[in-house]
Formats: sequence, C-alpha cells, structure tokens
Amino acid sequence: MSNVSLKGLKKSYGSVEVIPSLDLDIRSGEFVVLVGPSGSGKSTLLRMIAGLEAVNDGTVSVDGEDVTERDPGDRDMAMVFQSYALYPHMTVAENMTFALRMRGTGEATISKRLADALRMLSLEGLDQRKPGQLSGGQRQRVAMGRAIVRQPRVFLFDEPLSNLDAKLRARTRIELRGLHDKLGATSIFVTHDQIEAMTMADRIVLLDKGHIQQVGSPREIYEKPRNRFVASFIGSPEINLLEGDIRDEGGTIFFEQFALRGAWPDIQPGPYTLGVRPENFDISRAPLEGGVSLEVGAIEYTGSDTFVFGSSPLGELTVKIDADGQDMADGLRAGETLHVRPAAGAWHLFDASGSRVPEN
Amino acid sequence: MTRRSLGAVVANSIVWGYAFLILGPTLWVLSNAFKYKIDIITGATFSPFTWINFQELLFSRQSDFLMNLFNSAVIGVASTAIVIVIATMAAFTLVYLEVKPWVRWALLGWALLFHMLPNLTFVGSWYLMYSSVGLHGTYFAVIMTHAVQNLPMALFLMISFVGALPRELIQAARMDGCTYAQVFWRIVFPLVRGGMIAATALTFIFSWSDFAIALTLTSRDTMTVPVAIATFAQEYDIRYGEMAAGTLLSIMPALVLILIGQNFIVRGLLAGAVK
Repeated sequence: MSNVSLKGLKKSYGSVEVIPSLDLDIRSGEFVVLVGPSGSGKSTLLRMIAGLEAVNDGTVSVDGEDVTERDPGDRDMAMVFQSYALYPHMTVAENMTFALRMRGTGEATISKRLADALRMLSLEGLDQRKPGQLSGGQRQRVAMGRAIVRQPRVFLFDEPLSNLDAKLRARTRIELRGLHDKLGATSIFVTHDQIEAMTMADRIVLLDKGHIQQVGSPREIYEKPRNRFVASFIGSPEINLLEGDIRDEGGTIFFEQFALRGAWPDIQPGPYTLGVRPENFDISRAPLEGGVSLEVGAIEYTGSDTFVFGSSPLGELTVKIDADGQDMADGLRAGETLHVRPAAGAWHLFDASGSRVPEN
Repeated sequence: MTRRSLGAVVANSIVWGYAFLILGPTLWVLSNAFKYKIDIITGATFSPFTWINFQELLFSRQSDFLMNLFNSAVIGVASTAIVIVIATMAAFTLVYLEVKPWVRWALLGWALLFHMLPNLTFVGSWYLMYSSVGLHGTYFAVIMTHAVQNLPMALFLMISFVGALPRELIQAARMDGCTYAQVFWRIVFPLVRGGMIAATALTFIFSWSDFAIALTLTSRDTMTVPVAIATFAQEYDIRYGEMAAGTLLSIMPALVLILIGQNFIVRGLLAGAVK
C-alpha cells in the first residue's frame, strides 16, 4: 500500500499546454478515478505518473520517494491498457509472468503467483493459449493478471473497460473493484465514463483542460458540484441549467418564478444559473404554485423511470418521473402540458463566473 | 452476353496478354538453354533436347560460372545481412525513440533521393573512390555499395512494419521493466520477423540481380553472375545457349526466396495484441 503525491506537475507539447500545473495527493489503498471529457489530460496525467510521458516540471512521489526521473519499469507500478497491449507472440502464462522474469524473480515465486492470479481471474486452463485465441473479456482479464502478479505498489488503469460490451463492462466493474479491495492496493483509474467513475471510485478527480475541477467522493461530486462544469458533466441525463435573475420580494428569494426558501438568505440579487437535476422536480398535471408549465417534446421510458424532455418558459427541461409516478407517465403524449417545480432543497446555484454559491 | 461478363472477358484478356508479353520471351530464352547452338541461331521452335549448354557453363575449363555463383552469393548474403540489421534497428529508433521529426524526414528524404537517382550516376565516383584506396575488385567494395544502395528501400519497408506495432505494446513492455534494447529484442524483433523476411528477400534479389555496380567494381575474381552472363556476348561469338543456361540458373535462388518470403509475410501475426 502506497500513497502517490503529485506536486506542480506540468506538461506541454510544444506551445500546447496539456496540464498547466497540477497537485494531487492519493492516499494509500485508495481507488481514485480520473474522469473528464476527451482532451482533459487524464490519460496524459496517468502516463506521467507511469513514467511513459516525460514531465516538464514538478514531481511524482510514491511514499515520499521522488520517482519523477525513474524509468517506468523502476517505479513498481503496473498498468492495464485500454487495448490490453498483450504480447501476441507469448502465451497467457508468458504474458503474465514477463515482468517477473525481467526482474529475475525465482521460478517458485513466479509459478505460485501465476497460479494465484489465474485462479483469481478464472483463467485456469487458458494459460497456454495465445492472446489471439481469447475472447475480449478473457484478454481483458489477462491484462489485469499481468498487473496483479507483479504485486505493485500502485495499479494504473487506462480505460480498461471501454472495449467490453455493456453487460460485461458492468460485471467487470464490480470484479475489478472487488480485486482492488482484496489486494488493498492503491489504484488510479482513468475513464471518460461517469458511471464507471461514480460506481468504482473512493474519490473522483474531475479534470477539464488539464485543470482539476473538483476532487471528492462520488456523493460529494453529485450533490455539491463546485461549478457548472462539474454539475453538467456528472449525472445522466444532464442536470438542467437555467439562466435567470435572483430577486428579493419581501424576504423571499425568487429565481424567476421559483421561490427558493431558506437556502440563501444573504444572496445579492442579479443574474445566476440555477441547476436542478431531472429527479428533483415536483411534477403534476395541474398547475403548481411557483412552478412552470412544461410542453412535452419527447418521452423516454427506461423501465424503472420515465424521462420527459420538453420546453418551459425558462428553457428546455428534462424531468424524471420515477416508479411512483408511472400512472401519470402512462397516458402521457408529446404535445401535452405538465407542470413542474424544483423540489425544495435540491437546487444548485451558480454565479456569473460559474462557481457554486454556497448554501448558508 | 451480358455487359458484366463482357467486362470480365476484356479484363481477363488484358491480364493474359500482359502475362504473355512477359512470360513469352522469358520462356523462349529459357528454352534456348536446352537447344543446340545451330537450332538457336536458325530460330527453331522445336528442336532436339540437350544438356550441352549446362555442361559447358558449369564444367568447361574456360568457364568460371561456379565461382561467379559463389561470388554473387557471398555479396548478396553479406550486403543483405548488413542492410537488414541496420534497417530494423534504425526503424525501431526512428519510430519509437524521441527522434525529432526533422531528423527523420531529412534522413528518409536523403535516402529516398539517393535511391531514386540512377546507379550509373554514381558508379564512376565509386570506381574512383575504391580504386584510390586500393579496394577495387574486392568483395568489400561491392558489398558496401550494395548495402548503401539497398538500405533506403529496406528502411522504408521496416519503418512501416515496425510502425504498425501498437504503441501501447512498447509502453507495456517498458512498464514491465524492459530497457529499450530489451523492448527491441523481446517484443519488436519477434513481431516484425515476417517483415524482416520480406525485406530480406527483396534486398537479396536486388543485390543478386545488380549489373551496373558489379560491372564497375568487380574484377575477374569477384565477378558476379549478371556480369558473367554479359561476358558471354563477345565480338565474334555470342554464346546464346550458355547465356540462357546461366540465366536459368541465376533465377533459381531469387525464385526460391520469393516463395519463402511470400509464405512468411503472414497477415494477422498481430491478431490479439489489441482489441
């Protein structure tokens, strides 16, 4: 178990700055997910930690030891690649033990670790196959096995699930998290998939254009997004962001026609963005006090929930009708009108710069 | 007849016509290897069969053909070995190590330009160079010159084979603790072996069939097969039969190499590496 510490890490390709300057501490035994849109620098960051990308400035330390200038092979980190990168001319067993042989580990240790890993990943009996003779899921497990047998201080994952089909991906997510817990290792996992980030992470690091937007538990990130970017990146369907003005009417704070009770007594009037997640609406066929009308444009039925996309006087809105409201959803057709109102206490308010306005 | 089958007939005729244009004369020359001189000169298509040309070529006192074959083999093998070793390592360096792009382009551009100019532009200079250091007529002179001549093509081939390896494979090997030298020997080398065999076959064939360089730089002792065949045509006597027999014998190694090379360029060698 090891902690990883990044200080003032910088990376640019020529004049293109990919990572301006980044600090991050990853605790021992933690499962940290780096997530962000493409071009956010998350893969570059992972490769800098691995030593596969040169660092322009700053340090990478493991357990307080500066490894910035060390060869990737001398950092005691193992990486699982998106493409798996299995050696096609070697068998499964040779693939998995290659790193140990390069280090001159004894035969007895090698065969014991190999057997353990094969059992742990249900790859028994496949050890003499070549990667070309395996299915996608099996290759993915061999790639993980190659990392596991090394018993490294840190595991690095570069979108290892993105080549799997949806069902297998969901199952592998759980298996991978289970393995992490069993091995007690420190893991850094890169993905662009927010579901992977939310379900697997102890902490999420949300990146955009090389800047950390927010670091926190999945719950913190979802419930207290620090800015508009975080709010809109996490959550599916996306959070509703409404532009409007805050005004004070005799002690009650109004955002357009919504009355925001309690939360922000000292707020300055002016233009703001109100964020409401689709599941945080009161919905009714009859007009609601302090609500807006919603002309239904499209309806998506997912089994457990129904999402309604429509337009309101404040802009486009997405609202979720959960299982309790299925009766209302049943007869609903495009073109009809619903009435919606943000549920009390489920508002996110962002100021003109996009930062969250803290609740009092 | 439908339009489609008409098109097929035309296309087939063109292909067969082209094949005939190339194969016809070749087959006729080769058939001369088994004819008496008088039949060759009178242009007889069907004539008595004889091994006399081969006997003259290989076992007559005036003929050095066996030595010419040996010379061609020495020069071909040595220059090809040099070319393949350098081209493979250089391709790995150019593709995977952080070589500045302008270095790569300058090197490739220079190599290509050099390869595009006709040999005859250079042979005069080479002759003077080797003569002035006393190396004219040695194996060394021809081997070095063939290496220089064929390196650009082999380098291009190997760059495309090495460049086709997924980058993550190299990175995975680096993570597993390989130095770049170990990456080359344990990962890259086994995976581009097919490409190396293809490049080897081509380079050897070029060296084997070269005429201009060998004519200029070899002496009687180091003369190669193409030059020897040319000497069969003399002022008062053209030994058509022996020329044909020599040609037939000199085609053999190239033919074998092409067949082997073809077998080794196996598609899907990389299947399973990624995805």
